[in-house]
Amino acid sequence: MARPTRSMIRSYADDLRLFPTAAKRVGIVVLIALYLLVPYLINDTWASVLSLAGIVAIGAIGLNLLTGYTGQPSLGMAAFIGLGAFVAGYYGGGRFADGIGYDLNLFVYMLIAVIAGGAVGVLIGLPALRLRGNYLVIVTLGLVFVALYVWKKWTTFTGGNEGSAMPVKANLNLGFWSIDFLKPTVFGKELGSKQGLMYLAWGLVIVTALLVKNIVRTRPGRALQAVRDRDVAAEVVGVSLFRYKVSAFAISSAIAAGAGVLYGLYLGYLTPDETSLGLVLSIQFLAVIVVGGIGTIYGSILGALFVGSLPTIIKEFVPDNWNLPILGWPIVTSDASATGFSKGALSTVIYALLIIIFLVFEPRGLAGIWRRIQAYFRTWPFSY
Amino acid sequence: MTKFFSLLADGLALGAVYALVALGFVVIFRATGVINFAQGGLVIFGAFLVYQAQNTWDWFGGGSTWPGFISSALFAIVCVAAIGAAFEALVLRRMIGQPIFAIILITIGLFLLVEPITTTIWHNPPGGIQTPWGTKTVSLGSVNILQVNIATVVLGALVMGGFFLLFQYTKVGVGMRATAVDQEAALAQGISVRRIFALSWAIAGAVAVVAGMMLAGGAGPAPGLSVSLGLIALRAFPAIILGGLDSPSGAVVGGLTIGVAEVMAKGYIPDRFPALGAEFGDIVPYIIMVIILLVRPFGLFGTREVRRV
Amino acid sequence: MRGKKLGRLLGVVAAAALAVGATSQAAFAGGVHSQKTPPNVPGFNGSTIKLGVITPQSGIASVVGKPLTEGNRVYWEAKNAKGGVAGKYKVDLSIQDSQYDVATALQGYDSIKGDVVAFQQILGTQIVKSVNQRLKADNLYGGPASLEGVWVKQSTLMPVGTPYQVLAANGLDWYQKNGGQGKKVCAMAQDDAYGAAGLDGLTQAAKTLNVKVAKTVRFATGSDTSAQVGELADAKCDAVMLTSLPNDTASIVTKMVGRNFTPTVLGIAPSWLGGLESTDNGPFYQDHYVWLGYGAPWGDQSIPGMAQMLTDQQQYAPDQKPDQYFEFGYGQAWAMDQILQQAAKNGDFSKAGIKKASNQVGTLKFDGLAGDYKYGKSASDRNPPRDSTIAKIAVGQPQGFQVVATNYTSKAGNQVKFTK
Repeated sequence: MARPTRSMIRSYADDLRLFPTAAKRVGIVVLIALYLLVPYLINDTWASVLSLAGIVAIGAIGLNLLTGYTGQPSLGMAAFIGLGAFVAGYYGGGRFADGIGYDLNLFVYMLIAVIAGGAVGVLIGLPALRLRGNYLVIVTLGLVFVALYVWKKWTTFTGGNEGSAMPVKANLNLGFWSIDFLKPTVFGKELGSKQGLMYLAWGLVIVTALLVKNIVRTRPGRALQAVRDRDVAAEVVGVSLFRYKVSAFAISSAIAAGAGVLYGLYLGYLTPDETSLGLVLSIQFLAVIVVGGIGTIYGSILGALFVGSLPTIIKEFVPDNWNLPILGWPIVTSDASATGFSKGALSTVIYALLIIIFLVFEPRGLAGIWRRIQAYFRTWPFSY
Repeated sequence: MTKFFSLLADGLALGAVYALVALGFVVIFRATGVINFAQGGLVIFGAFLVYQAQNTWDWFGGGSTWPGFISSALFAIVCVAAIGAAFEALVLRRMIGQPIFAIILITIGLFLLVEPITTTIWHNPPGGIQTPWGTKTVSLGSVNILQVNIATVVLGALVMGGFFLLFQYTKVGVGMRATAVDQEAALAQGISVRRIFALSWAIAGAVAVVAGMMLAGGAGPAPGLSVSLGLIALRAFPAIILGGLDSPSGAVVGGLTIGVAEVMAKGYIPDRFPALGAEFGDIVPYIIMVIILLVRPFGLFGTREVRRV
Repeated sequence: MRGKKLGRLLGVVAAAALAVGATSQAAFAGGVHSQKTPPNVPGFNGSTIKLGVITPQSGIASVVGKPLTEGNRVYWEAKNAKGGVAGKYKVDLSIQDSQYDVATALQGYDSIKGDVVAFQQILGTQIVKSVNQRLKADNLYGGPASLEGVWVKQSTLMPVGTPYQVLAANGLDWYQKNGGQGKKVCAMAQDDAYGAAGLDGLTQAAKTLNVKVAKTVRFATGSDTSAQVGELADAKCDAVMLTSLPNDTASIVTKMVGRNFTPTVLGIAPSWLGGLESTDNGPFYQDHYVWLGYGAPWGDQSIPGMAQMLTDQQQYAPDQKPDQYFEFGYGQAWAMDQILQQAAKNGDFSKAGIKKASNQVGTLKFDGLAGDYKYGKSASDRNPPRDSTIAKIAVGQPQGFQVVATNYTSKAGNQVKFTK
């Protein structure tokens, strides 16, 4: 029997396919080609932006598992990012920047960070079992401040107020092939550290996305969504709240700590203070999943790209001085003493407005827009 | 013993500021069921508007005179109440029925707007704003106290009393309570839920101005006039959790408890446990909060949420 | 009029003679490159040198970043009007707004690192530390905009000014000699790297001067400090060494007033902001606050470096109010000028050339605007200036400073060591 169309879902097996349509499979090939080519060709400005966007995307996918799929909002991301980064600093040899130290392989310190993140995630998940909504947001907010205090006091691990240098190498040695992502040589050309970090970060975006996709499209994923939609009902039908909530916290925290390792590599040096590991960082991750689309994995990636590149887009394309047409009010100004937004202030304003606008007018985020475009072309020339 | 009473006085002064901020949270939560993360932003905005009237326009010779102080306060209260009500009407009203987390994030968005706007308009002026109390002190036995701290405690009590009268004896207040219990039933009784929501935001804005004015005028942590005033709201969260999100008296008790606990911890911990340091006091509120939540997930005075399947 | 003109003519002749002298000297020392234009390198196109600036121009920290950058700009505009570095190379600043956020600052760095010869200014402790890792990897050079002691021995950084540690040490010494002998000294510091630097200086000086620091308390910025102030009051401290920022200074002083606690407050430079003297706490500052800073007091025309700065400021930033950060920024640009001049002499504006120039420049001189900074043959040779400016507070003075001592040096300050 011939299938009417590939996009028609007739069985659970159809629904569970990772890449259901030919178009999607082509898309994947294109994306992989982009992944290999873009870092090779890109300039430093955009390599810096896109490597950070990749790092944020990893964390955002993890947060989306917790917030988007399981319905547990968290402002605690900065704590786990910090944990991952300091593990990298301690085991990656950065803490003893002058050559002595553990100086371990990227793979090893990444593994330690992920395990530590997961373990702390379980610890946080246990009390969170009793909390929901508003209360959970505030408890996880407290976590950010408690973590900062711990980082400042735990001087042997973090270097205390002086902070610690992050690894200067990110070696991956597979025996037959080895690479230092902070000083990569690709096709005989030596690339910059940001380009190398792009390969590493976006490679891990792919790994994380597949991992989380596989969780959410199978039985555990349906259980998590049941917890999100009606936790008591879920428990009544036999979903163990304890098991799923705690594992959602553990997995998401482990992913966040992994992203933290990369964040550390990106920063190069980390001191525990509000400018690097404060609430603003946590809010940024929430903003990314909202702008991208809550409860979709590619939404997190789109959101990270969009939010991450916004300040640079404003910096590069908005004129230095710009007055409102007709009224002549100064909106953007480079004069420090004049009234009018500096470009930096403007990008904060736009960022804040975007959060509000997306939530009000497009709660499904960029992913929702993308899905509408897809639907339009799939059913073309019919309107639905 | 002098040390204890001095710390107690300091703790109560800090707690009074927490309580004022917390009351702003409570009034919005009671009506709409949402924690307003932008409360800190309203506090900042209020303080800067008071500064505008006092220093830039120099009303009645500035804030150290009573007419100047009261007129600038009223001006800021009207402005911030209007901003709060407008934000509710234009933005949050569209969000009714959305997940709590989404609404919280909208208020975070509003909070993020405040810093670039205030620094663009006012350029970080040095110092704080003036109050009629200035830096005068009074002595109670061996303990010396800033008058502005006493004024803050009194104002906190007045605002709480005002809330009590409002909720208990006015039509609007009863409407607010009814809306908090059941929006549809309230609508059916002829209560305009829209007006109640907007009014709650306006009241929260007014309370925020009072908090911001006292803070920038030297009370509590007294960070002067800057956007770091907003941090006080983050520190006031444990107070509302402790008191329960929907209880005005809980907010006051919670605020004072957290304030005293924080100051006492900073005062006594460095001697007993030098390794922890005085900075431990800054996280004591959060630790108390987690412990309370583990025992009573809806705070000490909060209403237990009924979960339906 | 005529006299002035003649003076200027003489000045030009003298400058020309000096330039010739310098060139011929360099010709002997430097070989063939010296008379030719240095080869084009990233950031240098034969006539213009590009310098990067990474600084907060928006947000709360812009209260420091804006005047500091103005200081950079005014120095270079004045210099360019006179011909530029070595009389012929104009300098252009590429300003990146960091918003005081590390990631934003690093993106700014990455976007211009290939287009600049060096970085004129990098502001913020965590930001300098992160950017410094990049500078090391990219073999670039930059000026940190703070007085932290950890910058002194970093070969990638261009520190200027008297470090916090020395300011604290000189402050303690000054207090001992001005009525503080045998009095109880305590310390209050914010809980971060800046606070640690202040405490480090105080501890080192206390050892040299054989003074006991009776009590040390720390606080988090923006938090309630009443308990910490209470500790100091209960300990009956006669003096408190305060390492804080202006917002916290105001709040701490309010607590002191509230307790009727009136120690001498020895405030490290950034703890003060001009304008605090006319707030409600004004009388306390005037009676009890001592500012531990460095460099020439604003407006003192008798110091040649200050006179030069004021002339340039009146021409290129007439609206600028007296500001310690503006002065710092001006001095910082002056330091970079001296290094660039050395590089021009060597005929090499490449990354390696700038670093080489930094190790050849010998001593950075500021004509009294700030203390001379010995750079020596390598970063480990560096010796920062050891002189302080000590001021009390008065209304109506520039920035509220009533200067009581300039070029103040002490054994304690001279013996401060900078590890790593």
